[in-house]
Amino acid sequence: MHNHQSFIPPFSFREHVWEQWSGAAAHDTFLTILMGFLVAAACGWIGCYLILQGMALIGDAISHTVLLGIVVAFLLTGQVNGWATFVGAAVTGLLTTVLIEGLHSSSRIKEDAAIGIVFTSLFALGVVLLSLFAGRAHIDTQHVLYGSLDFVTNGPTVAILGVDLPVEVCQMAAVCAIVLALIIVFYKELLVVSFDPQLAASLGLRPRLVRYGMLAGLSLTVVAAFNSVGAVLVVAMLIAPAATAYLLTRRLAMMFLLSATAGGLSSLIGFHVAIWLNVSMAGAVVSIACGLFTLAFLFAPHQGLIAAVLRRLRLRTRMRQENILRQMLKLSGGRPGASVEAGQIAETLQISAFLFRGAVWALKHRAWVEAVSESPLALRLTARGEVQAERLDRAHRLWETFLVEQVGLPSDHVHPTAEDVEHLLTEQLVERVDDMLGHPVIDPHGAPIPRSSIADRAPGIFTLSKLRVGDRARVVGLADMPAAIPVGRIDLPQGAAAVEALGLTLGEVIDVTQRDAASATWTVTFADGRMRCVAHDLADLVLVQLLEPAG
Amino acid sequence: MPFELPLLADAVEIDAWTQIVRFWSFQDRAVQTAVAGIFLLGISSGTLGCFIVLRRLSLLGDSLGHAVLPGVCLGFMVTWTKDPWWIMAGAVASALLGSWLIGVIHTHSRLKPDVSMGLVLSGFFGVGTVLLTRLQNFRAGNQSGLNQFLFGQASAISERDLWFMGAISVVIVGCVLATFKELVLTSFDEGFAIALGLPVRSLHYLLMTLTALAVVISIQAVGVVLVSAMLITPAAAALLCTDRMRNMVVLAVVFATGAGVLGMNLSFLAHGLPSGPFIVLTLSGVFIGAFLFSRRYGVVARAARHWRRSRRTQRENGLKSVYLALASASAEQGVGIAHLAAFRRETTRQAHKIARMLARYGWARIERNVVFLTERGQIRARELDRNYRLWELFLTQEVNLPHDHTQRDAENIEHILGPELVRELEEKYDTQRHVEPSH
Repeated sequence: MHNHQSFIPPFSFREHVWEQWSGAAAHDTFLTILMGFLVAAACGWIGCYLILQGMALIGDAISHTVLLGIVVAFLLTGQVNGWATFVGAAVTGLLTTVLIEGLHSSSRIKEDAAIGIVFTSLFALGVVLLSLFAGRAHIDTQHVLYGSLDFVTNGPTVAILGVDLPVEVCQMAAVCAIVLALIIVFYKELLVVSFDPQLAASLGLRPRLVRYGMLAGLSLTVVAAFNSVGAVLVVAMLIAPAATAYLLTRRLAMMFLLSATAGGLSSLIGFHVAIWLNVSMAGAVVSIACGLFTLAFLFAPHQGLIAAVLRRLRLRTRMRQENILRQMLKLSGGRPGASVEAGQIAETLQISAFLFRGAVWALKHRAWVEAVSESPLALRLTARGEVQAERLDRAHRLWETFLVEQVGLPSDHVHPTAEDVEHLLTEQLVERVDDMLGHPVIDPHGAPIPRSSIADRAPGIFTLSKLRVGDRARVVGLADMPAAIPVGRIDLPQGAAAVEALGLTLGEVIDVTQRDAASATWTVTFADGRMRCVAHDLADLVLVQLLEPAG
Repeated sequence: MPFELPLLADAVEIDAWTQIVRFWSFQDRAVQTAVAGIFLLGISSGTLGCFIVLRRLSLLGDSLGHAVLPGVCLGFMVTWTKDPWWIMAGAVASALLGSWLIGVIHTHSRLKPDVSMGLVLSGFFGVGTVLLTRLQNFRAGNQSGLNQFLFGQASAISERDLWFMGAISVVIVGCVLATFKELVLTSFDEGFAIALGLPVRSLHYLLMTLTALAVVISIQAVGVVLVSAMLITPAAAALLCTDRMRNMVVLAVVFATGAGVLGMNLSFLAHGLPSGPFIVLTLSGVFIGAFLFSRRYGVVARAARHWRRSRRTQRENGLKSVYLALASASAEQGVGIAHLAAFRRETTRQAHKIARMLARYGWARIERNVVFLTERGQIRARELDRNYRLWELFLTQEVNLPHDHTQRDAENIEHILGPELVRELEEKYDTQRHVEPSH
C-alpha cells in the first residue's frame, strides 16, 4: 500500500477510549453517545412495532421521503431545525403512506412495487431540490445519506437548568419521550394489535388509530434523527436493534427494553470505533448494531442458529444412541443379557466407527450398555438398557400399528416413519396410542409388542387392560385418578358398580385366559374357575398387581 | 468531509440552451459515452425489471442497490484507483453476498423477509459508509470520486466502464432471452412451472444474479440509493400499459432508455449535479403519465369508462320509467312531465332533464311538456324490460332467491346483459308465457 497510514490503524485503549472520557472531552463524548442512544432507543421502539406489523419497508420508505419534507420546509422558512421541519416531515410521512396505499389499491401495481416507486420518486425530488436550491443549508447530499452524528456537539446549544445542551439532543430527547409515552399509553393496544389484529378489532381497540399514531411517531423520530444519522442509516436503527430484540425474547415489554439496550450498546461501541478509525460515527454505530444482530442471530439462546444446530445435533446423537440400543435388542434375539458383536451393530446401522465409539461411550456412561468381560469386541445391554430398548421397540411397533389400523397405510410403508417417530414419542403419548388401539399384542408385521414398563400407580401395578394372555395378577383397586394414563371412558361410580357386578373383588387372583383383539375384551378366570369377560372401558379401571407374567 | 455542491446560480455563465444543444447534438465525447451507457443500462434493467415487478421482488432491487456499497469500496482498495473491473467485481460479490444473506436470515429465523431485506440493506450500507469515510482519510481515497456512486454521475462514465457495461448487458439480455419462456412461466404460475419440471429454484437464483449485475452497471449513472427505481419504475409503468409480457418488456426498455437520456440531459444543465435523482424523477414522470393516461388501466380511462357506464344506466333507467309510465296510457298519448316526475318520485326539473337527455339520444320527443317515445326508444325500452324480467326469472328459478329480493339485482344487470346471454336466457325459459310485460 502506498499510503503512510495503514488502512486499519493500531487500536490504543488510552487514546481511543480513556482520553475520550477524561477532562474536557468527556462532556462531548457523553453528549454524542447520549444522542446516539436516544436515536437508537426511539428508532428501536418504533422498529419493534414495525417488525411485529410487517411494516419494516414502510419504515424504510418514510425514512427516505422525509428528506423531501425537510427540504421543502427549509426552502419555505430558511431553517433546518425549526418546527416547520417537523411539520414538513410529518406531512411527507403521511403523504408517503397515502400514496403507497392509493397506488396499490387503485391499480394493478403490487404493494412492494408501490413502495419502491413512491419512495424513490419523493427521495429523488428531495435530492434534486436540495442540490438545486439549498446549497447554503447545513445539509448536503452526503449528509442526507449518513448524517453527522460526530458533529452533534458543534451545533447551537440551549441552556437547560444551567447546563448547555445542544438543541438537537434536546429535540431528540423530547421525541424519545413522546415515543415512550405513545408506547406506554398504547401498550395494551400494541400488544393485541401486534399479535392478533382481529381480536384487537373485535375488542374495539381501533388498530387504525394505533397504526397512524405509530406512523406519526415514526415520522417524528426520523426527522429528529435525520440530522445525526441520515436517511439510509435511520433504516438500520429502525430495524437492527428491534430485530436483535425480537430474536432474544418473545415478550413485548422485554423486546422494547432489549432494543433500547442494543441501541445504547451500539452507540457506545460505535462512538469509540469511529474515533479509532476516524470514520462516520453513524456508519460505525449502524455497523455495530448489525454486528449485535449477527451475534443474536448466531447465539440467541432459543432462536439462534447455533442453538438450533446444537438442538439438531443433540437430537441426532440421541437418535443414534437409541438406534444402537434397539439394534442390540434385536440382535440379542430376545435373550436378556446376550452379548452382541459391536462390529455387527455398527454395520447394520451404517454408523462410522468414530461416531459409534462415541455413542457407545455415552451409553456405557449411562450404564445402559456394558462391555462383556470375556470378549473385548462384544457388548450387552444392562437391565436398565433393556428397559430403554424395549420402550423404543414398543413405541416403534405401536406407531406402526397405529399407521396401519388408524391411518390405513399399507403395512410395508410404515417402517421408515416409525423409525423416526419412535425417538420423538413421549411415554405418555405411547400409552395413549396403546390405549386407543386397544392394547395390541402384536404389530402389523406379526412381531410382539413389548409390554408397557410404566406402572399405573405403584411399581408392578397396572390396569387390567395391560395384561396379556397367560398373566396371573391380583386385583388391588380401582384406577380412581383420571389423570392416570389411560383415560376411563365411563365415570367412576358407574364403573365401580360395573366392576362389582363382574365379581372382581379386592385381593382376588385372576388369570387372563383369552384376549379378543376385535372386540377388545379380556377373559379372566378366577381362582374358583369362574370366567368373566371384561370390556376395554372396565379393564382400564381395574388396577391389578402382576404376579406372574406369561411365559 | 462534505463535498462541494455548486449552486445552479454558479453555473449561469453556461447558457442552458447551449447545454441542451451540446447534449442533443451528441458531438461531445462525454455525452456520447454517457448516452451509450444509459442505453445499455436502460435495456438491461428494463428487461429484468419486468420479471422483478411481476414476482413482487421489487424491494430486493433496493436492498441489492444499497448492498453494493462496501463492495465498491473494497474493489477500489485493490488498486487505489477507480478501476471499473475491480470496483464492479467487488460490487457483484457484495450484492451476491447480500442476496444470499437475505435468504439465510429469512430461513433460519422467524424474521419476515421484509425485515431481512431491511437489515441487509442498511447493514451493508452502514459498513459501506464506514469504509467510504475511512477511505477519505487517504489522499487517493478522498479524490477518487467514490462519492459519485451514491447518487450517480453519468458524465463520469468512462470508455472502459462502457465496455464493461456492454459486456454485462449482453450477458443479462442473453440470459433473459435464452430463458424467456421459462422465466415468464415461473413468474406467472410457479406451481405449474414446478409441475412441468422447470428448475424453478435455479431460475430464481439466475434472476437474483442478473439483478445484482444490473444493479452494478446502473450505480455509475444512477447511484446506489436510487438504483431500484431503474428496475421498478419503468416496468411498473409498462405493466399499466399492456397485458402481454413481450410488449411489457419492450415498453419497459423504451421507458427506461427514454427517461434515462432525458433525465441525464437535465442533470447536464449545470455542472456537478448528480444524475441519479434527475433520471429517477423523469422515470417517475413517465410512471405518472402511464398511471393517469394508460388506455387500459389509466385513471383517466377508467374514470371515463365509469362515467359513461353511469350515464348509460341513468339514461336507460329514464327510458324505462317513461315506458312503464306509458303502459297505463297508450303510446300515442305520451307521458306528461309532471306525471313522469310523480312516477319517478322526482321534481319536475329533474324529470325534465331526463326527458331532454332521452330526446338528445333520439329515444324520445318532447312536445309541450309531454314525452313521446320514438320508434327506437320503444324498441330499446322493450329490450330492457325483457332483460329485467329474464334476469328476475333466472334469479328466482336458478339462484332460488325469493321473489321480493330479486328486483335490485335485476335492475342493475338489465343494462349490461349482452345479446348472446339474452338469447340463451330466452331459450332457457318459455319466453312467450313468462316474459310478456304484465302491467
